[in-house]
Amino acid sequence: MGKVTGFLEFERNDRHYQPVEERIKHWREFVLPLPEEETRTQAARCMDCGIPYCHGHTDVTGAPRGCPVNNQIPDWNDLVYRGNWHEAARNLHSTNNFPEVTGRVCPAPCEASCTLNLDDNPVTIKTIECAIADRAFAAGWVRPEPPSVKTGKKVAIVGSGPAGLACAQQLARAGHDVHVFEKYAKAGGLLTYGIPDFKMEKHIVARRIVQMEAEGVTFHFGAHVGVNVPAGKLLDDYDAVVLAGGAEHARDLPIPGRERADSRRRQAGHRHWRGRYRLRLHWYRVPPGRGVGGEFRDFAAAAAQGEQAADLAGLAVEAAHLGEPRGRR
Amino acid sequence: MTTKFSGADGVVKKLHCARVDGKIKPMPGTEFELDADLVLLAMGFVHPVHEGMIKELSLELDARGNVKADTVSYQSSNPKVFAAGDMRRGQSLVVWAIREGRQAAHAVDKFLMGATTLPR
Repeated sequence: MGKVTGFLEFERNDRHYQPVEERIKHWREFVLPLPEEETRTQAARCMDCGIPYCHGHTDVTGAPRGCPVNNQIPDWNDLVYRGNWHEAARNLHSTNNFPEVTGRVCPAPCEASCTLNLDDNPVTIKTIECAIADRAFAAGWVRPEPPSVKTGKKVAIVGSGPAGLACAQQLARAGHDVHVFEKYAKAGGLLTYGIPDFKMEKHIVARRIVQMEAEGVTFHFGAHVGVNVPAGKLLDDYDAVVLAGGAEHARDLPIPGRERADSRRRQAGHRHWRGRYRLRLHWYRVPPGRGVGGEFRDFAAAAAQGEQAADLAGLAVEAAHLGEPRGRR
Repeated sequence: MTTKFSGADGVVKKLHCARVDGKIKPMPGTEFELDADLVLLAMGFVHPVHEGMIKELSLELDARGNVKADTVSYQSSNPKVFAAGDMRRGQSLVVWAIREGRQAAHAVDKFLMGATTLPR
């Protein structure tokens, strides 16, 4: 539970961002991890509530609250406070396949449901989760966990986003022969092709893929089921098929002049679209010699609101300062 | 809200916008314009792509156009086919995707083996 009086003694202190003038000069993550001692102090604020809403429960309507994967948050807060990072990492991985991802990009419903919200600020749960996961990787505690016995069953998974990857890892560890079909050249789905580097860098996902391959998962890249791989073939060749291809039908804006935006997109973007991996950066290209101000406000205005709009704006600013990225990966 | 794009020679130059009321309808007299050389639509996703795989498998869809499956069996209208993540629930959070992937793995393991020790 952390320190009994921790929440009375310590104020919430979360990770800070690198100053703007620094962060716009590079494409990398700009959230600065807390020092170890401060992370442990923050974990000390956890009250180990009688009903820990953070780690998820179901309310009377059946709607889940708190953590959707039911991370045992008060338990690992306590372990971190006591400096037992190894056991904290083991506990965290028992409910979450990719805590290094959620520690970076989850909107943290756990913190929204923390009891300390009643008359104080919530525990920095997401920051603590990220610290545990990053430490686990740095210390070499994250190793492949191949099954001791194989079942002889074959499972096809379509899509390598967070749902497909989590499903694949669990089924591989249960001894099944798991094959993941991914239409793009790299695994990760939106983790790779949707989230900009300034929120989560690509190596974060890549090292999990290495782990999963060592656990027996086979990845088939450039394999677009229903396009260049017949879906019927999966039914014939596998004992079960899991569809985790995401919701990719984008909402359109059917207003007068829409075709103009479209034609410009084809004109400006097409020749850069060879590698989908680089697409996201080229999208945000700002004309050379133009300042930060105008364009990025226009982008944001056109993009309405939301996470994607914020990502676009962030990358537009970085692009304005750095120019077009050349040969990135 | 943006009500119109305008430009010349197939290239967009301007967005025509208006403030909206509580029902997200444009309010008269609040029109304004924004110059833009490039417009990026970042308005989210409505459901999985139906063309291709989903049509080929003739899977049943729910009212929102997602692949129909419950959160216990994760089984689609084809008993051998399961669905998880945004494909089943529509655009959502990474942490829900991880949950659905894990729970679907539990369901698939049970389907294949008759029993499972995977958590859900």
